[in-house]
This record gives sequence, C-alpha cells and structure tokens, in this order.
Amino acid sequence: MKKKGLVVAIVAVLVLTVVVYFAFFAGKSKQANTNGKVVKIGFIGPLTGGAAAYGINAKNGAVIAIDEINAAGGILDGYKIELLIQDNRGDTSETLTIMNKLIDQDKVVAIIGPVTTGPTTVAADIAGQKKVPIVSPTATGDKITSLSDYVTRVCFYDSYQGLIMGKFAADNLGKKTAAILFDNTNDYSMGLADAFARTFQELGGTVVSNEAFSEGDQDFNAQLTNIAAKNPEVVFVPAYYSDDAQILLQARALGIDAIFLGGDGWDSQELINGAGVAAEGCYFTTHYSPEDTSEKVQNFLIKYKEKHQSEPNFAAPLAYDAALLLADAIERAGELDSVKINNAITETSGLSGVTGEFSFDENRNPIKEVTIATVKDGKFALVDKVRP
Amino acid sequence: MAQQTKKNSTYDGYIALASALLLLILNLILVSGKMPAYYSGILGFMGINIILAVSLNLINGIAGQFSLGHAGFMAIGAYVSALISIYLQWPFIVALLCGGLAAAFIGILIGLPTLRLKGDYLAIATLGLGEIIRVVILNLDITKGARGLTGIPRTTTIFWVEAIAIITVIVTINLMRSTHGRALLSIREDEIAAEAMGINTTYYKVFAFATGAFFAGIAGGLFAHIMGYIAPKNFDFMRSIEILVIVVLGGLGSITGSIVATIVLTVLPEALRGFAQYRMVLYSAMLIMMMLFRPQGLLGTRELKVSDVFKFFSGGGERDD
Repeated sequence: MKKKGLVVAIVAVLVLTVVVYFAFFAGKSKQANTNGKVVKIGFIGPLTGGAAAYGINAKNGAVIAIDEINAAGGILDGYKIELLIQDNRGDTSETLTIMNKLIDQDKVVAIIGPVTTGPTTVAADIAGQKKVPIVSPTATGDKITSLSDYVTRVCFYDSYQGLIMGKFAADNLGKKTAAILFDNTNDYSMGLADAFARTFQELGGTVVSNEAFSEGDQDFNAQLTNIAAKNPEVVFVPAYYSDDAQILLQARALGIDAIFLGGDGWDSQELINGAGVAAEGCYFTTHYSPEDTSEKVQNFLIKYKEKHQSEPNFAAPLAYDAALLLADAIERAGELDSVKINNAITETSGLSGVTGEFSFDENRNPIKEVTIATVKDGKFALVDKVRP
Repeated sequence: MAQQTKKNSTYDGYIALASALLLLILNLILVSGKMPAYYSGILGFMGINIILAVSLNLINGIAGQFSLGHAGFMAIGAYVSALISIYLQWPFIVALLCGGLAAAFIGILIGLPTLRLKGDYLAIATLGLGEIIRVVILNLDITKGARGLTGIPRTTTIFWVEAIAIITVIVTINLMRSTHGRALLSIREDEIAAEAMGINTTYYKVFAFATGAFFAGIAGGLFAHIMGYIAPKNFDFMRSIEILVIVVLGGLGSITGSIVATIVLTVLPEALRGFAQYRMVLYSAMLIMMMLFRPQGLLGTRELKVSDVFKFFSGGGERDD
C-alpha cells in the first residue's frame, strides 16, 4: 500500500505535466485557425479601480473609432479590426500578465494602452522584447517612450505641458514673477513643475516661491501663506482637480489674487463644481477643448454622447486618435507585421485626429498643438491652441 | 500498532513529497524555456504569493501575532535587491539574499518594540509600519520616489520562483515541528501560560517576525526582478490585505491551506477574465461565500497530507491501515 502510494504520487505529477503540455499545444493550434479576415488589436486600461474614469473613457473612445473604421470597410482591403479589451485595474503586475496574454495567446498585432504611466512602464519593456507596438492614449510620464522603440503615445508628455505653460505665462500673459505649488509625491506634478520653472526663468521670469504638498493633504494654508508673502503675479499648480479646487478656495480666502495656472489634471467639471467662482480666470493646458468648434471635435462629441449617454473626458478623444493612428499605420505598413506597423507609426505625419494633427519626434512623442483653456462664467472656455 | 502506522505514513509522506517536488522542479526546468510567457507569468506570481502567504502565516497563524505590515517587508526586499542589481550588478541570488536580510533586520528592529503589543494594537502598529516604509521609499532619492525604479534586470524565472517557494515551505514546515515551532504554537495558544512555562516569548515572537520578514523580502526581490519596474504603489496597504486574505482563506496556521488558497486566488481572477469588469465583483462574491460557509478557512488548522490524497484516490478514507 505504501509503495503504491508513492507510485501514485509520481504518476500523478507526470500526468499533470502531460496535461499542462497538451494545454499549451492545444491553445496554440486553436489560435492558428481563427485568422480569417480579422486584425486583432488589444486594449489595456483600468476599467475598474481608482483610474477607471480614464480607462472607461479611453475604451469608449477607441471603440467608436474602430466601429467607424469597420463600418467604412475596414483596413487592408476588407480586414475588420477586432478590439480585445482587457482590464488591468491600474495595476502593474496585472498589466504584465495581460501583455503576455494578448501577445502570446491572442496574437494581437498592436495594442492601444495602457492608460496610466506606471503600467505603461511595465508594458513598454515587454513590447520591446516581443516587438509588438503599443500606443498609449494618455500616459504622460516623460520617460516611457524612451524605454523601448515600440512605445508611442498620442498625448503630450509632462514636461511639454510645463514648458507650454511657462511660455504662456511669460509671453502671452507677460508676467515676471511666479510661484509654484506642487505635489512632491506625484511624478506628474513634479515633471510639470520642473519644466515650468525652467522655461519661465529662461524667458526672463523669476520663480519667487516653490512650495510642495503631499498626496491627500487637505490644508494648504501654510504653503499659501508663504506664497502670499512673496506676492507673485501667477501661481502654477500642477495637480489634480480635487486638490486644485481646495487650493483655489483657500488661496482666495487668504486674499491671493494672482492668476492660477495648471495642467491637464485641472480638466474636469469637478474643478468648477468644487471651486466655484474661485476658479474664474484660471488657465490650464489640456488635450482638447469640447468648446472647440472644429468639425472633428464636434462630430466626435455628438457620436460619443449618442453611444454612451455621457460627456467624455480627455481620455476618450485621445484613445480615439490612438485607434486612428494604428489603423492608419497598419494601412501604410501594407501587411500585418508588428515590426512594419511600428515603423509606419513612427513615420506618421500630418494625421488629423480629434486632438490635433500628429507627427512624431525621434522619441515617438507627438508634435501637436496644446490647448489652453480657461474658466469663464462657470464654464470652461477655449483660449488658444499653441505649438511650442 | 496505530502509533507505528502513523509514524510510517508520515515518513512515507515525506518521501513521496520529496520525490514529487523533485519531479516538479525537473519539469519546471524542462518547461520553463518553452512555456508561453502568459502561463509562466501567472506561475511566477503564484509562487511569489505562496512565499508571501506562507511567511505571513508563520507570523499570523503559527505565532498568532496579527501583522498587517507584510507589504512593507516585501517593499524593503524588492528595493534593496533591485538597487543592488542595478548599481552593483551582484549576482541575482546574492541580491535576493541581501533583500531578504535587509527585511529581516528591519523586522527585528521594529519587532522588538511593537511585539510587546497584542491583538488589535499590534495590528495597528504593523499597519503603521508598512505605511512608514512605503512613505520613506516615496521620499528617498535613491528609490526615485513616486516615479518608481526602472531598468531592473528581469532575471526572475519560474524555476527560481518555484524553487524558492518550495524551500520556503520546507523550512516553515520543519520550523513548525521544531522546538521553536512548538514554542510559537504555545505562544499562540496562551501567551501567559507559555511564559509561565519558561518560554522567552519576546525572543520567539521576534524570531517569527524576522523569519517571516526575511521570506517576504525574498519574495519582494523576486517580484522586482519579474516586473523590471517597481513603484511604492506596488507595496501599499492593499497588498498587505491581499496576502492576509490568502492566509485567512487558507486557514490561519495551515501551511498547505495557504498554498491551496494562493493557487485558487491567483487562478480565479484569470479564469474569470471573460466576465470583463464584473470579474472583481464575482471574485469578491466568491470570497464572501467562502468565508460564510467556511469561516475557519479552506483547511482550518489542518494540513493536507500526501497520504490524504492517496486515500482519496484509493477509494475514500474507509480503509483503516
């Protein structure tokens, strides 16, 4: 009986191994048969969790673009695009698993996503290793496109926004003194703050005060009192809308009447809801403005509202453009080869999407105009579209 | 007679376990090169979770000290080993060991004062500890703060993960049966009685804490070298909770329970992938159901023995041998 037990154990492990082997082979042969006239593109984004608002919008935007392309006859003479949507919960280890799944199991030719910077950093590595291009709609972290040749993004990067805002403050507004209040636990906030300070000083301005806060802070009075003492003409606050609203309210209560400036983290209706009149006359950079009267923007907004019964945030048009970019690149590559598609993406020039006209620099960052918006009479309004 | 049989079956169980593990390792070496990255990735995370769960079980289940700071130790191991790999280029296994030792050192340092606390108070102190570690990492320059650490060589293979997981399990099981293990169990059952019997409770508690921290640090190192990128977000409070869920679900004090629960909880979210965003709802619902119907965890404090599996396959448990 005892000997038998031992034999059973060894046989069990062997059988298990055989089963596992077969599972792999079976999986492989199944994939080979479903190629038909379908191009598979993956989508990775946080559909649940803290960043879900961006993930869901991005997904919706990409779906609209792909439905349009398929309705117009698809790409490469009749190939339809199939979008394989995967939720990464904004988590890096989940992203690793999904990247492997989409590339190894589902054999996608390219991937739209991930939406946030952390997961994109992980995905970049795998994309480079497996030579499958990823196009992130909204990952703004400066470094991600330099991590691998297979990462492209359609949004502008953090320092680019800081640069534009620094230039806007110095040249367009003609201001000489600025204060900066940023979140030193946040990569995005730090990137914008650095670039703003650099550009503003290069153009002859002075940064009179540089104050920091931490994620989750509710009381900004200490930092704002320091800023008030220096009496700057503008205050740059590269943070997210919930912090921004608090900062604006507390600053106005302290009697700071400087012009407040920010980045795309400000672009949410919640800012106006939270800050009310305190938000009037502020400027921020963003990816597109729903108030833009151009046909492309208005058509997209109508389609989005029709299909999803809600107002999109900036992730939706960016993902829409990411899908357009991929479809265009596949068309120009002429075949479903990931390496050729990646080359075609890099060579894109003058592609016109909802968020502007695209070309790419040598690091596969888009060269396109940045929208500057303001708050006027309790509503966002388009000020200008600038190129650096 | 009964005594004799029992002894035999444990002994036999060991041999079977050892041969099975050996076979498994051989298989993993064979398979690891050919296995699609999707599967090897999942197996890798599974192995890391097994190390984390088993090491937390040593603290929470066996020593009975309720700790909520396991992600903190994992973070120390991950960052120390990643920094060593990046800046010093020491061999992978040395980097891992350094990460584990650093975590164990911090475990001893922090265990000494906090383990004087009991129950809820200890839970809150360890929770704070995990957060302190995370915030320190967030504010140090060398760890690149919120930006996260990139460029870590991705040297972890499933062979390493599974081999270290197996070592962790063997060490923990042997520890449980040693003098130290019995001392820990007695502390769990009744600390005052244990002290009255002459057991140096502080020493044993700190010992369990440091050993648990050591393996958590190793797991962190494996994690860093599997991802290639780590950020403080990877080691937040929710990570500690995830590990705790595994331990509680498997049964506090049951090593095999932790392993079974890890396998279930790693495979489940993957198996449910087809349900898109409802996946995590289903996952949570399953957790609630399991806790409702088996509050003591999948295995309670029992251990799953190889002989149980034989019995199951050779016609239930009726045969009385």
